[in-house]
Amino acid sequence: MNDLNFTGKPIEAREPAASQLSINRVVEWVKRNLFNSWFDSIITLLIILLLGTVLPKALDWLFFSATFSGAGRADCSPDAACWIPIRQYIDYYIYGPFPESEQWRVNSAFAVGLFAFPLLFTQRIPQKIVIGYILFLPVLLWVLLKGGFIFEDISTSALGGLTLTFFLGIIAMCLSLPVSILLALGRQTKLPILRWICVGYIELVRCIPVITFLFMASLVLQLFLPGGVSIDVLFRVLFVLIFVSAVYKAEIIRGAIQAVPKGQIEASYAMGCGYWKTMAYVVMPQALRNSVPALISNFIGLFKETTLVMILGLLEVMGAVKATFNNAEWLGLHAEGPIVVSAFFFVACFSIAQYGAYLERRIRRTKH
Amino acid sequence: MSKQTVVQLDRVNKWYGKYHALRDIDLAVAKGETIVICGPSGSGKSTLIRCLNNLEQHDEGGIKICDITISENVKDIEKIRRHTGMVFQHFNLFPHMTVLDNCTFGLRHVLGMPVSQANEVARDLLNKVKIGDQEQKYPGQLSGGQQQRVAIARALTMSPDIMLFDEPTSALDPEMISEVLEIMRSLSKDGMTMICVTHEMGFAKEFADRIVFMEAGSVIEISPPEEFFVKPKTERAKVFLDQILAH
Repeated sequence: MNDLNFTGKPIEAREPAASQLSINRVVEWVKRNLFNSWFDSIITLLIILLLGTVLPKALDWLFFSATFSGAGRADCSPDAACWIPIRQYIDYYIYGPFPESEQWRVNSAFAVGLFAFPLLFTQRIPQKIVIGYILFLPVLLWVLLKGGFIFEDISTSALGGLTLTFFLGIIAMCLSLPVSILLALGRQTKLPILRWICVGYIELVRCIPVITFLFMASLVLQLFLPGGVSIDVLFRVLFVLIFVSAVYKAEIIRGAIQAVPKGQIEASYAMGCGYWKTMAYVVMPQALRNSVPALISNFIGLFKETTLVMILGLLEVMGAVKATFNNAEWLGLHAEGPIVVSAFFFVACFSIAQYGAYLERRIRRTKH
Repeated sequence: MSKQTVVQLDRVNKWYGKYHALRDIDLAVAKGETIVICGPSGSGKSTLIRCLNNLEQHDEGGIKICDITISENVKDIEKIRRHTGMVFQHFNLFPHMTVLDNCTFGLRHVLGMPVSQANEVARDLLNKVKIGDQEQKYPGQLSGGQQQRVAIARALTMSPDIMLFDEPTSALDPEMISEVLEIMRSLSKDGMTMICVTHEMGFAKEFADRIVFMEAGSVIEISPPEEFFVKPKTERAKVFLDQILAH
């Protein structure tokens, strides 16, 4: 008699059955998800056809026939990507025209900025410290990259490339959230004048394109200021980025505040808690949790919006890449630059999105 | 009255627009008394109890809680709220905090007590409401009865002089009502001043010192339970009792 395993089937039959099973499973999955009906089958075949013609060509252009090393334009293959200029200018893309002797400051700025990431992910460190760090980060970045305090002043035109993108993006993200919280609260306050100001501000700003504000900040503002007074263009650009994106966030947060049940506020008030503490410890934590998906989208949008400063002659990463391809030697290479910039933005923004997904998982754990 | 008066209402009126929600309410509650407010829905019971800690603002008359008069003064109102604990129909626990953090909320943020000390006070009260083993759970993980017991513990952490109960058992499944009433009974026995809006007539009969019957915004009758349940002074109270005791 054969030995029986727990399912009652002969043991010998187990090995082939297991592999058979996984193949069957794959076949079944394909049948169910790709060829479920004749319509599904046609779509599937069309997509396979499309991928079959496009993908090999794309991969070939991007990698297999592409030129990765060489001295100049002469080494480039004519019908594939030429990555030589990217490699040549990579330092410029990262640091921009930042003085070489001071580049350690950029490196430390990247380090302190990226350090915020693990800090946001950990739950071990008290929230107050994390929030403090996030609010302090803009000051830190400004001092490191622009100068002041004990550091030598760097001229604005020396900030460029990834350094500038990072500088604008992080500072704007860190500061626009607190501003938007205040705007959202202001729009709901019982104090009429404050409420009118907030409503008016929000309605005005969100109905005008960001790019016009950037133009105004760079050109029009000078007309109103008394002669001789000038505000650094970086400061003006940051101001626009922060105070424009805060408006959209304010509306997201206002919606989320309204979704917090009134009983929550009453419970806090009933214990003798005042308005600010109730907002800080009861309402905002719940409202912000509820608005994570929308806020993350907004952060991603804001980070990408930093490319708009290009029109003011600030060479953030997109502008820096574009500038190098205007160089006579590389003129005519159109695709490589945008591909590199896209890759960078994808990595950065996808990381932000992943943080959002993590937050949502963490929040879900406390709900049942 | 020999005992100190802790709640004093003097001709209190309130309107919602044109709707006259509270009409000339006079009421004095002595320290240690258990008052049950009952009456048909829409009679102003909840409005009345919510005026006592200024969650609703009355329009006319005076309300005095522990010798502090309710006014526009924010500091006074916060003081009054520290003297009163409130338990809501829908518990209103903070869903983003653990049971323990819910109970230390007032101690930490209103009284500024250090966390370890606050935890001690809260744990003591959570044990009293027999829920000490759940302190690390979130409100959403507890049953309604358990949540309401946590809410009572949370209100008690501030050592209030007066406890206000706004239909504490109305949102509960029938089998959970008794566990909440049991806590209320023991509070009443311990001499807590309690004002309860409730339909639990069993609790009223057994523990109320006086029953306040309201209809259409007015207090119609104030009697001790033995009188109220046996021979109510007014026809309306009789009708109400017939309806509520019928099932």
